[in-house]
Amino acid sequence: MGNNSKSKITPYLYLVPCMLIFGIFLFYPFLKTIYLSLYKTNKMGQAKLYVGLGNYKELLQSASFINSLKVTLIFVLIVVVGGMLFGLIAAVLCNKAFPGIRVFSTSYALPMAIASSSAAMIFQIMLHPAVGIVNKLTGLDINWLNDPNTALICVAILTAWLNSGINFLYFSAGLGNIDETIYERASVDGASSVQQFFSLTLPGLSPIMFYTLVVNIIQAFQSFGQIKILTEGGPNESTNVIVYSIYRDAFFNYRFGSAAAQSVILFVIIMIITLIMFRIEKKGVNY
Amino acid sequence: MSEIALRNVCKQFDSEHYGVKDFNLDIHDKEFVIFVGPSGCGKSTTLRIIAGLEEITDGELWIDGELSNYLEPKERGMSMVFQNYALYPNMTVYGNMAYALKIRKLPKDEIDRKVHEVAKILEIEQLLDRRPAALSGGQKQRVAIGSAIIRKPKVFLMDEPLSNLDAKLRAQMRVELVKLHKQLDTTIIYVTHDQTEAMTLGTKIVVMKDGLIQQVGAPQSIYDNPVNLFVAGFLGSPSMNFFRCTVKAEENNRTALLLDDAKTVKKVYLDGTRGKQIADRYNGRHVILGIRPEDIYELDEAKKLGIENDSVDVDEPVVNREMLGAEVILYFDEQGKTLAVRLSPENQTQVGEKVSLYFDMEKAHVFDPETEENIFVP
Repeated sequence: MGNNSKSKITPYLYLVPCMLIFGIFLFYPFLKTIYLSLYKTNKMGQAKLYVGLGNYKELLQSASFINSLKVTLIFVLIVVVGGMLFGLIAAVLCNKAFPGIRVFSTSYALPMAIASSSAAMIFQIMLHPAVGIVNKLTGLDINWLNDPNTALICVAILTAWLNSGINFLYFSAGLGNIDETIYERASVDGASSVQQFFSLTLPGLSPIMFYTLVVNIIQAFQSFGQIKILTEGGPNESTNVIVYSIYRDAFFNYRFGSAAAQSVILFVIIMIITLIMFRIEKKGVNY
Repeated sequence: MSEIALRNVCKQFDSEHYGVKDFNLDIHDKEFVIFVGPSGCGKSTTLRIIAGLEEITDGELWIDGELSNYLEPKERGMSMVFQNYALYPNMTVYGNMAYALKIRKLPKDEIDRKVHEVAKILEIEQLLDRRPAALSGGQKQRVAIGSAIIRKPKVFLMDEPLSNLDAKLRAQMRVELVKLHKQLDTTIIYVTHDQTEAMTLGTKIVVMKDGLIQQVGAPQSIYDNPVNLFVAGFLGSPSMNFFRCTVKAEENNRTALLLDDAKTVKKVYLDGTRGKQIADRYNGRHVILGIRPEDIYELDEAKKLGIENDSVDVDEPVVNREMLGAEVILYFDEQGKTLAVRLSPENQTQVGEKVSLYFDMEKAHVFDPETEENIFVP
């Protein structure tokens, strides 16, 4: 009998380390966030007054939060499309064998190894209205990061470039999985390189494309470092994405309840989008 | 109408390695040409050069009287079946077959008609909605052929299309391919390492080795008159038996070939002009005697053919006996190599028995041991 009960416990014991880490760093904060989102807190972040869905109601009526949602969606759109396009183009270019290809491959994958904060610092200098290389080269006189019309685009492009490194790697791996001879057959069949790209390369990449898309969307929603350094949500809240808004509410305004509610809303948005995409994948990507 | 000519074509991979060397060949309209040779002999490279998938280092490729070295693959009007079939995995069988036509922007109903027409010929109509992953090897192969013939190419290129099929299916597809060649009435260039395929399919065989053409000719003529040791040994299964011999001119205009390293004297005779030819040039020197397994007999049949004087007593008894139904193949050890003899299935010689063998010297070949060339083939 002792033997029997031991063998029943053993499997659970193996799970303990993993569950402990998940529990402390994931499940507990998650449940605590939901709990906090139902309360007004004091400056120490302790729940003081139960308000039910009050925090959520306030948020949905606040122009600032609606603006945050809008800014986030635009930001995510630019980052995902831009990042995937950069990565895809670079991977397709590097899929040909020619001298020095490794130098190019390394440089296209490099953004992956750069911390977002250091990349942001470099961009800050490049976009500087007086001494920045961008204005010098284009001959323009734009205060890129302080103009509400350009700030969001600049931050989004930086993020897209940062994400393009890992996308490049994914797409390179995907291209490596496509059988070379189908291109040879296609060229004998009479297909141009553009036709080959659209009828063979893109469908061949579709499984990895889907995975990359999901990861990119989630990553884009969670971008923070570069916004904190470059614009701090400004000017005029034009770059105030939800994650930054959460940070500001929690650690500047000490409104932990509202910040927690925003976190929950962000979580729900990401979850819904991911579920929709998995639903679509079941129909779309198949061979 | 399609005439292809290769003139001194070379393909150099690096300073020392040649894929193909000084390749000269004329391919005429409606021929079924086979490139055959061991792996690495440059046969696939030559096919890819013709297709335009491989650049030519040196030499000229003429298609229908037009210098075509730098023509893009799509401008050559050819279609190709690849060894791994190269089906487009994201398209259905229908999509695979229709692809080349869609690119040419043919009207939809015409594409539809052609796909069904070709699918009917190849008996794959029921597969049109499937994707390649759901097909067996034989079905994939049919789809690959279907995709190639659908646009009625000038030339049809095939790179070992049967090598991934099992033996039975391969034999079946060989018959189908010959039929298809008649039906399509077009030029086919076919690469294989399998000499049976080469012999059964081709109207012209090109035997290659180390990037060089060894011999070009009709299957029977190459089989009967191989120009050198390599060709003689490559075509035929089991392959030709070779013996080191010493030439000795004897009286009455007879020329004897004495097998080297024999425990007892083993002697066969070449008569007439062939014997004289050998005696004049090689008396007292070594040559290599080549004789095919089917040109060696046991006493009963040797008597019928009147060759009972050319007997060779093998030192060792039979080491293996393969009963193939329509024939029996006996294996002996001779001169440290395997000697194969193909006999009628009635033959009852068993493993361990010693026999005398009779060589039909009219059909024997003699090779120069240095140049390895067939002395009787000019």
